[in-house]
Amino acid sequence: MNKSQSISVGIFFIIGISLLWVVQRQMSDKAVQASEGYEVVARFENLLQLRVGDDIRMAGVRIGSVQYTGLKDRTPTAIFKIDNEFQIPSDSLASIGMAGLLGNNLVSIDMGSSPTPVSPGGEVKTQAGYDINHVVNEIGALSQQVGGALKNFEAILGAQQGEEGMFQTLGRLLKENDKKLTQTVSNLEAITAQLASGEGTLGKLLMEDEIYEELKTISADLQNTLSEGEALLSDTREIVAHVKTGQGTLGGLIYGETDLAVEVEAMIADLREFSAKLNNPDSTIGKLLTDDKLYGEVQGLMRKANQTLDGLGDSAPISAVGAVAKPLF
Amino acid sequence: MNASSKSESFLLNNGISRFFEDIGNNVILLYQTLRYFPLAPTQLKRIVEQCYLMGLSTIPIVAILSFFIGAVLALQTGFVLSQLGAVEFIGAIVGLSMCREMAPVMVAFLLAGRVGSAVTAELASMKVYSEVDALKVMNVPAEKILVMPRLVAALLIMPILNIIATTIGWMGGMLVSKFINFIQLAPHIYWRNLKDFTVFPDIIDGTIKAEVFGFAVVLIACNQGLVTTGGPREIGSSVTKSVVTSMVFILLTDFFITRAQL
Repeated sequence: MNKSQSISVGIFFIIGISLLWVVQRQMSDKAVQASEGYEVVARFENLLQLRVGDDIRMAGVRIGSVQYTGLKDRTPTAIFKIDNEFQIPSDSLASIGMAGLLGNNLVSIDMGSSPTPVSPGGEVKTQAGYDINHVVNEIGALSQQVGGALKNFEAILGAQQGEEGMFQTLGRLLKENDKKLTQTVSNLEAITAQLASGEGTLGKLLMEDEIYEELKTISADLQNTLSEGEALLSDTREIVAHVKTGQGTLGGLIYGETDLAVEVEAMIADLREFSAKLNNPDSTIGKLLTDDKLYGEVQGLMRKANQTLDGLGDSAPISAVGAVAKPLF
Repeated sequence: MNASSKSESFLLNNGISRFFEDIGNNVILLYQTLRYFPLAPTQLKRIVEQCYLMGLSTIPIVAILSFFIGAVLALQTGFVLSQLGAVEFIGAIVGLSMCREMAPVMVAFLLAGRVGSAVTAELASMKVYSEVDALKVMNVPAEKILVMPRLVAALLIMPILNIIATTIGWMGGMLVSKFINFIQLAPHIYWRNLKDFTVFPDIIDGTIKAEVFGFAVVLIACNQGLVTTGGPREIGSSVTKSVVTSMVFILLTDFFITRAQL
């Protein structure tokens, strides 16, 4: 064996060992070294799939890694190794989340606002993370509900063994009334076209300013009328109040004990007496009203009078001719 | 007496008995050689020479093979993963498979083919041409100067060959991921994913495998060489047998070591 072989073997070993060292450093640089940080304890309800070496992130920034996972005092506990340059506010909340769909986990810390940081060896508050199994169960339940809802929807919309669904009914109605609907639509089109061009009452109403002005005037008039009406009403109220107090003729008549009221009462009594007399068949007017004989006599009288007048009517032209002819003869 | 000698010759000549005989010889050789391990520093020159022959001269073929294995691994997985939209996992696949499986097995196969055959041929020649007997006559145990330095050298070079093969395989995977048009994975994503999934204990597991395979290959080669009798033809068949036995042993042991490591 010569010297160069020994040198080659030496180089071979040095390169090999340095390569091993480099790979070891590269593979391990994601785990925080023991001398480079401080420890923080976190107690969870469930550590899920958290493993030693998983990242700890605060607001998305990697601040350390998981140093230990296990049960301490029957509580799932994780110990975090946090880089010295980072401090966790004492009211921060740590939770276990998923880093990827392949089951990688990380600890996500919701940064608090407290000015005091968690001291080395201290405990950080935790909250329950999302367990993928739980989420899958929830999705399962949800999909069942959605399935049920869709079934109901299908039952409403689609035909079910010979029955006619909503769509079928709609389709049939549309088919049957096709012509009518077309006609209606064309009518509507014509109406809207007329409206747009300002034809017809509605069109004019929509398009012409004159009507608007007129309406404005009418409304102004109405307002005037209303105000007048209001004045009238207030006057009326005043009169009614006046009447209620028993003032004036009407007031005296309704509420007051004046002479007028007495007179009116007397007048009414007279009227009553008069009507009683009218109703009495023995009185002259009563007879006139109730006795048919008198009515017959009057009728006969009237007939005679008529005849007399008719006679007069017939002889009138002759007498007129006689009167005219008299001077001639 | 006649019947017993017949059954004895049957036992000695059939395949099963030869299989157990091989195992026995190997164990005995291992035991005899282990006794001389503390004397390794006295055999430093021979050890360094063996390191050169086994390690240094094997590097080129190890480099070529591991580069292309990493590249093909990335190509094959990349084709499927690109259809799934998960090409970044090439890093994890190439990283883990190279360091845990491909590199140790491949280096051991190369060692069996390139070094094991040479060792068997050398020792078988020495045995056939009575050089081993001459050593015995001189009271120099063959295990001490022929077997022990080779085994020590195998133990020394295997971790290094393994890590070289692993890193070159990773490089091959990275280059393919970067330049093949249907993958086009940025190198930093490849490395980040590789580092996310591959940890140093994976390299340690691979190195343990490589050590076991390398040691076994050299032991089998030495044993096969030292049990050779006859002439040049027997030397050839011993070489073949050495290589085949080594490969079977590697594959068989690989399964059980992997099972134990997981």
